[in-house]
Amino acid sequence: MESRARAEPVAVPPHVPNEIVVDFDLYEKRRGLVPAQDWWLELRDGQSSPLAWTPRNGGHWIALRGAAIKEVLSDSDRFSSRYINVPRIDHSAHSTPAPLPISLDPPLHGPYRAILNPLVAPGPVRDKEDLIRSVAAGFLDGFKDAGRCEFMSAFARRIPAAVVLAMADLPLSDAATISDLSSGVTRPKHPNDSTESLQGLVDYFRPVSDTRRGGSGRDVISRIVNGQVNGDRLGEDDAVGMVLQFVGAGLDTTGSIMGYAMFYLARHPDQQHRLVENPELIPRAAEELVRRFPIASVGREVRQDISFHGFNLKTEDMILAPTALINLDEALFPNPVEVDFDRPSALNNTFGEGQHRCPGGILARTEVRIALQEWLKRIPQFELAADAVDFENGIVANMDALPLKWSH
Amino acid sequence: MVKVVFNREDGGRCEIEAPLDASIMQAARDNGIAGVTGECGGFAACGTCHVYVDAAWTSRLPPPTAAELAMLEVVVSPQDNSRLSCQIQLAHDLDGIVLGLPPSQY
Repeated sequence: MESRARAEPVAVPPHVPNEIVVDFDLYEKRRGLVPAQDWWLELRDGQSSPLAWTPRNGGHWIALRGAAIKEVLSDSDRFSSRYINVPRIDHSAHSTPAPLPISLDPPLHGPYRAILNPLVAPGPVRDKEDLIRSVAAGFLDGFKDAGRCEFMSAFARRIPAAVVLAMADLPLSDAATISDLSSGVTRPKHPNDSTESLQGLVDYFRPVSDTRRGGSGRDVISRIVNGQVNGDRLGEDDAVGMVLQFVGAGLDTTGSIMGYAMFYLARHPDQQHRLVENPELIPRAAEELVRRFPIASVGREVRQDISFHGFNLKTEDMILAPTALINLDEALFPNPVEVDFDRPSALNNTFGEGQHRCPGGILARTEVRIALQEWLKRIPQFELAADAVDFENGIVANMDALPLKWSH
Repeated sequence: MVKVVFNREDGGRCEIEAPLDASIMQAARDNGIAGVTGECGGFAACGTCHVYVDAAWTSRLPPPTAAELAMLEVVVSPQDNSRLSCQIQLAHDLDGIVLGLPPSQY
């Protein structure tokens, strides 16, 4: 059932051929047993064309094939990151700092991004493994004897929140506030929610950023706000934009990936059994689950009139790039829908493609792997404790709740 | 084409032939060198194409940029001769370059 009022459709512009117009709402919610990634398959498999166009959410193109989606994500000459949400969020109109560096194009993007990269590189992520493990174990020990839990709120959202707040030297008690605001931006509950939630994040992070500017702290916020771009210290708005994106991105996305991975495992006792009997498979299994269930679908703005896969795209058109349809493209991954823990290791695109590829991907995958290891040690057999789940698509796909149960 | 040699920690050795327009990371990926990941695709952003440059070859390489230097501090098992292989463009005078692979990229 549709519980959220859909954004009113706009008229189909003359340069969009009627045969590729679909009624597709990125923020669709559905209750059932079909995860949001597979809704993208329904959309793609109903089209013979590599692009579709929907009048919802301001009207936008959707790239449907892996190769085209990778082009949209990585070719900044044709596709700008100035706007990545549909409908667009106009930061200048609402005086909120734009999230950085996700909304920057080259050549500006590189130096901003270079501030973030070292914070979540392989070395520091490895140093966080013990923290992640103890956080996961602590949450699990709190609920495992109950024989049931609501996975998203009891575990999946709490781990990334605890980790990113520890890295940011912020109180863990603020996790729910930041997490809710972050969800409001990526999955707005009403038409103004994206903008209002973004303002809420700004109101939270601006004082924190201001306090740490000029200090010598080694926490990620201090490192960001005291970062330099081409020799100059970051401006105040830029610093806030960087901080809110770094912290917000780490909260919302990783929990969603864990949710979809556990939804799959809950319904596949054979796969649970295999991992419990062969725990050395868990790292590969975690990678495969991350491949099978990508959650991000960001947009790009077309920079100038172009011809793209046979269609005429106009300046300022928005085009959506669902990562699920890269990893689930048969041309790129054989039997892509199958979850195969023996699949040869290969780079996938859950974390995007090109210079905007998510810098937190290594951290997120490490959290998923350790969460799975700690969970299966304590809860080797579990199942869904509901007939259906409330799934939600969006810039970041999500699920409202994932009730699980097990014998204890 | 130029030759690139990768030495693994376990003593294993692998030689590849790569075109001049490629970075060493790209050449390693194209040839299925398992120890080089290169997640970000060549932007010195991820630190997963880390290699150790054999002493005989270090002086032939252009020095790392500030961005690469910052990443070399946060790769796994860094050494004085660490480089990101995505930042090394193959050239005639690098024909035969010898690189060590770290125990792990993660």
